[in-house]
Amino acid sequence: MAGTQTMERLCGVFRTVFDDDAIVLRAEMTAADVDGWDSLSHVNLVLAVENAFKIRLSTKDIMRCRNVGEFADVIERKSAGSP
Amino acid sequence: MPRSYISGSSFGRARDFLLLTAAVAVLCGIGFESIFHRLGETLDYGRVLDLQAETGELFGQGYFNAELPYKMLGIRKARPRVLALGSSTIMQLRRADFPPGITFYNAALAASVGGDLDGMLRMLESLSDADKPKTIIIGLDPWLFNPDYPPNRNVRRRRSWVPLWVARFPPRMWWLSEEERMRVRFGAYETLIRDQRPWVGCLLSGSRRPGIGLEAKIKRCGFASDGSYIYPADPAASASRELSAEEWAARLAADRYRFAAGDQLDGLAGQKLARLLEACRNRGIKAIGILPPLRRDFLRSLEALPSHSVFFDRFRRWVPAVFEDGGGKCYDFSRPESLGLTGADFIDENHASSRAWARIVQRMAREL
Amino acid sequence: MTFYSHQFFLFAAGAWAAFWLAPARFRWAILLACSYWFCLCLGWRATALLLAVSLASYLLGLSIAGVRESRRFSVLSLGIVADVLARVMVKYVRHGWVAAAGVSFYVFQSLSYLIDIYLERIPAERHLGRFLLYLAFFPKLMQGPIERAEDLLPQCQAAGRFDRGRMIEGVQLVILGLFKKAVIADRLAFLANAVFDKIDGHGGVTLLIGLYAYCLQLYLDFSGYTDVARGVGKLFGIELRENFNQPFLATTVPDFWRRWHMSFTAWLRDYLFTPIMAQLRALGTTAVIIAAMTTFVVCGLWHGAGWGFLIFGALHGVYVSVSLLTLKKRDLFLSRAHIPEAAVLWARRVVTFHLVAAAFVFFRCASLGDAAYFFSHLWSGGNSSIILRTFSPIELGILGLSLLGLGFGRSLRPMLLRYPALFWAVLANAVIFLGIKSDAPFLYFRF
Repeated sequence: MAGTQTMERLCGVFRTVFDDDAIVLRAEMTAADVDGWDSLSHVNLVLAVENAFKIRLSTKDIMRCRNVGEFADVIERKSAGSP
Repeated sequence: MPRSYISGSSFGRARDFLLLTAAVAVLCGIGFESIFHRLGETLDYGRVLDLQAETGELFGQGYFNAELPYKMLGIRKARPRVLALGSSTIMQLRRADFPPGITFYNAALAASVGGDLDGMLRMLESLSDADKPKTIIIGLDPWLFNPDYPPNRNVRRRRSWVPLWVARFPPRMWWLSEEERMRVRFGAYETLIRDQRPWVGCLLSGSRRPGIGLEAKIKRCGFASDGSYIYPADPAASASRELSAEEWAARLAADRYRFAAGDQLDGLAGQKLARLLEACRNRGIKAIGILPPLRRDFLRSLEALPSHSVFFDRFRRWVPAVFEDGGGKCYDFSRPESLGLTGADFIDENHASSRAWARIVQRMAREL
Repeated sequence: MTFYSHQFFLFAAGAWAAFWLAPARFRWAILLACSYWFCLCLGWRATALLLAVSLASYLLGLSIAGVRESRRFSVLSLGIVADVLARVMVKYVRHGWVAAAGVSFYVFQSLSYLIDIYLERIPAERHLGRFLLYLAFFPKLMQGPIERAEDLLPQCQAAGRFDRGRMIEGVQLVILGLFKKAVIADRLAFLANAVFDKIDGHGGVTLLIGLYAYCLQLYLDFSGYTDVARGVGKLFGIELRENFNQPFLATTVPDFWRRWHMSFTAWLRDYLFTPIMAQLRALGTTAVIIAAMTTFVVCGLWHGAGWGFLIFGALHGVYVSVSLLTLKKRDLFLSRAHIPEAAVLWARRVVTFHLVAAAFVFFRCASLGDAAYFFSHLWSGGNSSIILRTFSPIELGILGLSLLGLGFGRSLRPMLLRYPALFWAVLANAVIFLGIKSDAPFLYFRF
């Protein structure tokens, strides 16, 4: 389970990418729950996250995530230095 | 699609649904059948023949094909001395063509419903001694002996690993015939709905319009009381133009089973013909075979195209030979020149008009 | 066996009875046997191929999960190659069409299974019987929907409860689906075929009418089929995914693909578009174009081998690329120009529909020459007389009423709520009596 700090930072990234300060993240949220989150903005999101957290996500990681919670988990794992 | 269905959960609803569906189905069925009945499409054949005898109306259905029992009943009523058997190609033989004093009935049917060799055999076998004619004229079309003709092909294709007792199992036979009957019926319902012919008008004017069946009412075509078929009087409908050699080459290349591209004659069909002739011999009936006339443009292409000429040639040599062996006489009238016929004497490429058939009867006069 | 036949009705009824009468532990076996029986009716070659692909996927799935991390990708690649090979061979080999029943669908389903195992999203299925059922489940065998392992496998494992509400929903869906397909779509086919089968000689208005008819036909045929599949699934206690969500109301082409054949496009998005985009994300705009073009060319070729399908796919690749890349700018421009939202909405719907319809021309036309004729003759001539030449007045009434009913279904709800049994009884009879059963009229009439 990702820590609250990660979730908060992630929320900040979301708000920037989707240009919406009202976004509040929950672990079960998926693309369907956020306005404007389509396949294109998904990639922009990934780039923004990589920039913000200074990590590099593999294609496998990106494909594996089904919702915000899993996304945050992957981010935490990568930040902690595991491959 | 928005969810427009409702989840009811009571068993009562399901039961209501089933009962209502059945009720509406019965109503629909009654509706369709009444329409057919009023148009004369589904009258009992006995009644049709009685009406025809009374009023001379034509019997021309728009949604069904007149079937074997119609002609059987017709034979029984007419007790003809001369009987014609065959498909639509011989349907133009009329009672008027024959010398007075000779009763004639034309028992030809559309090939799919009994105008083929099986149908002819069945008709012959079900004739009682009181009804049987003195002479039978048999119209022989090339495709009857074509291995690709669906009835011949389907017999060959039947899977050999199905044992005969399973294939002939009565409930299975009943099921198959019921399936076929329903298929024809529902096909007729569908045709009725899709039909652009003015059946609604015919329905409303009903019995005032002469003719039994939609085609008879609208186009004045159908079976006369002597069993022959009257084509619509409309010249556009009855004349078809002659085609060039190239057009025939293209058409015949696309044709799948009427005129063979091949050179073998179907063995089973040959056996059926032999059986037919034997049955005639045994019952003391004279059998006369006729190869009906073909329009010259069509005949020329059949003889010229390598894909068809071998079969056609074999057919014209072999069938008369079978007749001779069987104790009958066969006339090859496929060449229109032999009767002095021109394109105007044809309704289409293989259906000669009644004028042509009158001439044929004259040629055969001494046989009768 | 097509869905609209008495044979299928009897088969499904028999399978249903056998399924619910059997003890819960054997139900998956009954369903599996019925599904393979159904496939056998389509042909022994099709069944052999289904079994082969299923067994291969089962073994490969276990292997990917069991093998060392470093080896996993190679095993996956092997699986992908094998699946694609099966699919390609069937469409290109001479008698391949005989074995083709459903292959495009279950091959994609199997691919998603293998990839999901590789991504560690799901565990490999150990129970062979249930896995075979997952691929062969007969309602979805011929035309999908393409199910995901995480959705369908658990349902194959659980012994469903007999839920009366779900049974009724299922029956209603089946009736609705058959109505859409047999009464409306197959009827519209007569009009579309009249235009497209012999396209020479038709003028602009006629061509347009034919195209509209075809688009409607395609939608109703496919969505009707999916409805029947979902309905039959419900009868066995299994929920299958939806495939359509009012596609012709889409405002952009990407939106259209989120509403049309959804199980298929979700597959494309998750297993083709996303990984390509992810892999190439450094390239920015180029990545979008490459990903969109690749995805949609695959989409086009998945439907069939031919230039028409290729162009169909490529066109949509272009549409989607342009749309994705310019959407933000267009939105900005339109909001600055103060054009009312409703106008924008409807204008977008009309434009999107026509873009999609234009691509469908390549889908339907028998040859590129026909497609060229279509576009060159679209702009002048023609008239609407073909409608009256194809349909009798009664049929026009049927079509009109049906389309209105479908289009305004929501407003009919109050009436539905009062007399549901009558409504469905009438609809069921419409299916029985008004459904098109012939494909060739009057085969032997007056032979």
